[in-house]
Amino acid sequence: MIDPIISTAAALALSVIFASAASHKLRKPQWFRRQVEEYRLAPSFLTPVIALALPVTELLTAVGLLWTTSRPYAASVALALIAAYALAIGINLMRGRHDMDCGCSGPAMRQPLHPMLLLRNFFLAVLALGALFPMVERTVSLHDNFVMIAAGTVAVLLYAAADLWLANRPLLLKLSGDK
Amino acid sequence: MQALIVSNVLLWLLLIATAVVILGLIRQIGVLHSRIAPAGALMMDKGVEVGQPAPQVTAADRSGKPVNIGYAGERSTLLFFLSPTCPICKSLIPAIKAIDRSSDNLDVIYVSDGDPAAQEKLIADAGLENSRYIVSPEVGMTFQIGKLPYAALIDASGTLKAKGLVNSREHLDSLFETELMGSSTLQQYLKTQSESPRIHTPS
Repeated sequence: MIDPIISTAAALALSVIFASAASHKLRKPQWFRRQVEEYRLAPSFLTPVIALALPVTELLTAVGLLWTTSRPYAASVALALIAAYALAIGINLMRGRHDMDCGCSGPAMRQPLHPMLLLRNFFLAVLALGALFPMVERTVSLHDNFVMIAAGTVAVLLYAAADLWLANRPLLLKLSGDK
Repeated sequence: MQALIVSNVLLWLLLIATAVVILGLIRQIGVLHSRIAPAGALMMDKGVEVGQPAPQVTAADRSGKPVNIGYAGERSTLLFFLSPTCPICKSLIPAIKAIDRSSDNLDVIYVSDGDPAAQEKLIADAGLENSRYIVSPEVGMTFQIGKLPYAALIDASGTLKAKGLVNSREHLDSLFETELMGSSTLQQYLKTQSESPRIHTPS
């Protein structure tokens, strides 16, 4: 059992993150199809199906997280998606493909695969678990509502900042000449 | 109780503000990185020295019209050496176009070399249809260009005023700066500075 503040804040943050991820993928379908192919995990005839199914699932998850009735289902799907992405990144890291674009932050920002991305997905999974656990029944006051939205906002902002931070890392390494 | 709620709300608002600031700072670092283009190794320049008359060469532009380079004329000339295979060259084209638009007494000539189909694509992508674009290895050889993107500034009397490897807008602007300061290279500027008696240099 978990307090409604934690559940709702986690669901709000996850919903925004998934909605933005889906919008990248739906707005640049060409780019995402190439990205799916680049991961070299599924047979190529499945690429168009996967490239469409993933963003649509993400969008549905983002919407489903907003209502308490559909939240547990949406959170389980989100957890599965996060785990699947982590697996895809992990397999390609094991193959030694460190130069490959992760495709995590949309087409505007190249970001090579790195073990830190797995840590990022772990934090996303924690958020999904927060939304997944059943809530304690209690009346929610105005102040509780405020804290939910504020905590969700902070989580999204920190996620975006961490994402940029990860994307900047290879640029800094390029300057100093290390690999 | 009232005070605790107020303090809690205030803390949340401040935390959001802090997160926004962090995001902004990290974004700015990313922008800074993209502005610091790779500068390239310092190289010994070959070809005509700055301050000497520029080599005179004539080449045909895309429509077959002859273009004279290095002859005395009414306007200065900026030669921009590029190639369709060089990504930094492409990223500099907007800066070159801006310089072209902003100065009245300057002719900008793009000098390229390589596959004709790639040239056409580059011209279409960058919107250079109305610019003077020469595809000729001879011009590059006359000026002894070893690295791209390279730019050379020739004044109206046909004297080579400045030249150098240009990897960013700053490098490009420095060509005009060197003309203004009267030193052909940064190295020469530092040398004249250190030779002046007012500045103490360890010997």
